[in-house]
Amino acid sequence: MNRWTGRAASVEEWIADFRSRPEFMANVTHWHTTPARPARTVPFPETLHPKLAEGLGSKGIASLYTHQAEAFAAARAGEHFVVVTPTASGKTLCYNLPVLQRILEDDSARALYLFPTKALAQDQVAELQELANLMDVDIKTHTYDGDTPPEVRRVVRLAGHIVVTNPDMLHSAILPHHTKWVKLFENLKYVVIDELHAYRGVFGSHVANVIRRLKRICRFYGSRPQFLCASATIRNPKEHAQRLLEEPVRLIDDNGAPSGERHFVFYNPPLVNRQLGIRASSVLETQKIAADLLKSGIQTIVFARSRVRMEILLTYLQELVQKDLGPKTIRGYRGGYLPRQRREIERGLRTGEIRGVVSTNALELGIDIGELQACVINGYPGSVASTLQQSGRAGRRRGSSITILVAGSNPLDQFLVRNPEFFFGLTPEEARIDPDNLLILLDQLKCAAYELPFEAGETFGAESLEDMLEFLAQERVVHRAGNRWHWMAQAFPANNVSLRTASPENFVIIDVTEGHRVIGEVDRFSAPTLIHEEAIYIHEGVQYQVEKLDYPEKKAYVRQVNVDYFTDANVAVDLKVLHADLEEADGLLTRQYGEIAVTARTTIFKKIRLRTHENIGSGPIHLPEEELHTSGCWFAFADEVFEGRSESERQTALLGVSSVLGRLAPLHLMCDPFDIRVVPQVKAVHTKRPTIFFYDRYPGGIGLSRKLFDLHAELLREGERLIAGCGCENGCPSCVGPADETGERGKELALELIRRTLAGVPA
Amino acid sequence: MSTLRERLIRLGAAGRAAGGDFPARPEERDNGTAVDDAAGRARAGSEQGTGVREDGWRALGAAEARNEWGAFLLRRETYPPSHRHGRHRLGDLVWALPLLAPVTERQNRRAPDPSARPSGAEAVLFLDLETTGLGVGTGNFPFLIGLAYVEDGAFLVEQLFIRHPGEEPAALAHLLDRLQGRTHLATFNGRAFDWPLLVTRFVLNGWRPSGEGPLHLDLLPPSRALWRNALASCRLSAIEEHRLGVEREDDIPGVLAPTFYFRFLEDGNPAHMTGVLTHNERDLLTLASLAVHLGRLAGGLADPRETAEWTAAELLGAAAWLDAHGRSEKADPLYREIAGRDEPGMFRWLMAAAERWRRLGRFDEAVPLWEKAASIAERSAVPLPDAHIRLAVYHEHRRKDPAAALVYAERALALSAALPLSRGSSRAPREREEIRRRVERLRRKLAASRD
Repeated sequence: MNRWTGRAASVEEWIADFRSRPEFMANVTHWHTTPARPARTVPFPETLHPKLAEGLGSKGIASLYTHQAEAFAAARAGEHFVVVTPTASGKTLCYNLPVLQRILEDDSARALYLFPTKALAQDQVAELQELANLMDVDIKTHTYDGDTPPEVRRVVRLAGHIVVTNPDMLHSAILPHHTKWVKLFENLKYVVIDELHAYRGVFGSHVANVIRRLKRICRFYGSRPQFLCASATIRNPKEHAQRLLEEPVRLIDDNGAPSGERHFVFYNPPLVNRQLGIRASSVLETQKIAADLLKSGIQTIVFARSRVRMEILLTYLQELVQKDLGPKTIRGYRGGYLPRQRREIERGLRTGEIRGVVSTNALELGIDIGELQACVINGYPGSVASTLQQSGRAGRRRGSSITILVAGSNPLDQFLVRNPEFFFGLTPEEARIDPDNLLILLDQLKCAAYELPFEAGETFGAESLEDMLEFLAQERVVHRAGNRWHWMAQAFPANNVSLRTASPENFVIIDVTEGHRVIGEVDRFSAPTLIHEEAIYIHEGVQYQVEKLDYPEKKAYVRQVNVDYFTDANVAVDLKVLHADLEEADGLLTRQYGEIAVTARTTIFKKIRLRTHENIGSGPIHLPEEELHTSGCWFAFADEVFEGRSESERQTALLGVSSVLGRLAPLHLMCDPFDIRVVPQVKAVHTKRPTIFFYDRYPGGIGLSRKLFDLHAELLREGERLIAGCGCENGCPSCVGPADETGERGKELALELIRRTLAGVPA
Repeated sequence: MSTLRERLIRLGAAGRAAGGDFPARPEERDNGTAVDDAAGRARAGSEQGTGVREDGWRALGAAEARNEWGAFLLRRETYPPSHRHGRHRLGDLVWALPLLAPVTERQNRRAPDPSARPSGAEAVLFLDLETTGLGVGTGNFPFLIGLAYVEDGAFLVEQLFIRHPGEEPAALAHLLDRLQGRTHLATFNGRAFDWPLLVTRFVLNGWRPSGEGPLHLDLLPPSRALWRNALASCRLSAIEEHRLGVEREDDIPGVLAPTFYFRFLEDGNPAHMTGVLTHNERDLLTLASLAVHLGRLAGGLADPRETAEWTAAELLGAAAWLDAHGRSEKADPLYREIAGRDEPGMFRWLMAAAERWRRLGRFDEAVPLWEKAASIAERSAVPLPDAHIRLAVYHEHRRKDPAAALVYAERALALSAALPLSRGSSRAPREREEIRRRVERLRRKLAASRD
């Protein structure tokens, strides 16, 4: 460490220094070190085209990592595969090699690349073009997305060897116009799908259907492409790929790439009030650690759970390090920033001009930002897979890297930070999709019928195709002629079907401080909580107040302000059971699964002071309510479990248990905690008993609550473990919630409820 | 477990299947579910029996046609050369179509090919599709293919009606047959819509497009060139009403055609199609009439009595169109005619006409137009200085008469200063500065010549 500048010569030195500082180490609950690993390589395969060998050679590549060689062989053998290796392990070469080889051998061969976002697609084209130039061959790679100008589109359709696009574009622009892509579909040899893990939940369920449509069209043109996929670490890459592709898939996960030594540190902010279980703010602790890294000259990425958090952290950090590093060296990054701004930040990170970035999970995906040295994660990202992805952003082939996870005060974070062995023992989450969700399937079936008539005997999804087509015939959108069903309506169905929960109907945010300037976007579902009138909207560390929200026009008008608070909105949820499909009882617990209707309305917002995070005021929100029909499961407790307990004690117990189970549920389900919601009702209309409801936050459901219906025993046991293991006296934000919210004896009552219930549940 | 249909209805899938823009059916009843309704209709249809339907079709003049691909319904109508549709005779196609050669040459920019000119009226196939939707996506289905062509001087209309999607290949094969030996496709927006849609249909039915396809004689671009500034809309219905003297009675709006076809698909009653067939046939006749109209214009054959009815905007549109097609000599009289007009907005048309003469170096023609435009500007509430500037330049450089030039330049400066700021746009200050410099230069020149 340079005593004069305070800068560390290397990240290794910073780590050693950190370890010597008691004020930090007192809060470290676990330190996990993964030793450096050498590369395992094999010589170029003999079958590798000499041009390719030459091109790789001029990039300084003289051999392949073992997983790259395996992928090359698998592709040559005609197999579908999915590669699962960490960031910076040379994953893209796994699919680029076989694709380029094939095009070198046969100029008419075509490949289609799918990336979840436009940015990733553009990175990829640059890389492919570089390789083609090095080989001095004419392989045409084009992006085809919403930004492609019309005159270029024609060229891409006719002459592009490799078309790089996203699932949304495939869905709404390519497949419904497949007759213009005859050359592509007739000669399609490979479909490359990277970031396979991103296709989960609703989005994944739609994409699985888009792939069904793609395969259907390929069959029509007589081609049968191979699928070459890559994914970040998830528990079930092979199963997920097979579910998505409905083909047998080979798993390639024997990583041959080298990696430097990696440190993973669990950090729990110190208790400031032991009795009430109140800990120092994770935001402030995160800021302290990140500032220390940045001031030491270490390029650092900071992840935050929410956009608001991310912006607050950015504001704090910019203030702290401005005089050391200058203002433009710490940047924010999230969805909602305009694409040009994001490209500029990515470039700055690669060149090293930008020394620090504060991001939401938007940077989890494989956007190329180079290899950073340190990563600070503010709050458990909600899943093992996400945590690994974020941590992988700091990780280099040579040299050490460090990730510090700063726990929040919520039960899930506290559970993990106090049971680190649990985290490291956890396999990453499953990516789960439900391509046969009725509404998704029906919507996709319409798109498929538009593209090609259906014939008797075809299949599309798990439901009876004929029944679904009959339904559409009654709805007068398809017409049966003999053994074929034809699309017969004026509508263009793909326009009415969005693949993502975040619908394309984004709200734009217009800064009216000086003239009118669009500064960002917010998706429809987040709009009521983020940009209601009077909300403080933070963008790149600058505060704006929302002056007017034009809900029908989807515009928010904001003006720059300088205040010492941010805002947080409350959502009121009303829930009604429509139909119960499944029911099971274990002793005192009755579980049901079925369809429910949920209405959600944002009611009030709180003003929260910066830094101290105290509540300094509130105001009403007047926005229309949103109705959701979805699937849910609910646990109804028999009266016996509450024996001897008053009405208010029952309420306290139920509230505590639901808060714990709600936080733990995402751990066992899919990645995003926002996909599943929990609502306790002391006397539910449907069950007439104290009940905890869980529901999928998507119309029709995506199979999450169905899974919870079976997982109840595991969930309850972990809940018990969490509450019993918490060091607080009467409940705290880390378990059942603080006593002043849940009631005096919240912890004890919740534990009693769980234990009495578990007594009747078979082990 | 409930049935699939019940589950779908509970999830709110019913009624939104069409994406909400399925046109309302006027005779929709409130009672009974959609199932019973449709089933009832289907039964009624079958009980009616094929005999009744055959009669219905015969009444429409349609009969089943067959080829190796199957059957479809064909309706034919022959019009003698003397038949007038609006103000034009269909027989005039024989000489009017070849006059449109410059249009097809411009629209089919391929390697120079003698076949880019229609060798005669018989080489042209008129085409107009009725489809179930908009756009050229794979799910847009052409249920009626309207064709027309000239044979032995007569105008033959053939309508290929596809009673159900299974009949599409036979109808497409018939269309291919009619394309045999014909080089050009005459349409209204066929380059962007009708033909690409047909290519999609060929591909979907297993044919692969080979070669370049027919050459286009798309009448939409010339119509736009002519009437963009003269008519409120360049739709075929507006053009025929205002320029071709065609009056349609009892016509169904084209946008309703899909609705009638969907009804026909449900109950098989030919009566639903009457209006659509008539509409499509009239569109084909109008297309022919429009071709005659444009051919006459291209040939410089527009009657002076006819052009007298046109607005200045239309004269200019037609004249510029002739210029663009290498028919400058035919355009001259139209430009001259603009000079004699006195209509609202004349300033713009005079300036445009003068600009054309200026580019040809014909200042004798341009100057009177500028003078007229200048006098309009003098009287205008928002006076543009453009004509004065042109005249100042002309007198300074052509006539070498700085005194006359200065008069115009000073007036230009005064007008420019009088322009309300809001009309000035961003170019105004710079323009004013340029005029000021011109005035100063002219004054210096004058002073120098006096010395």
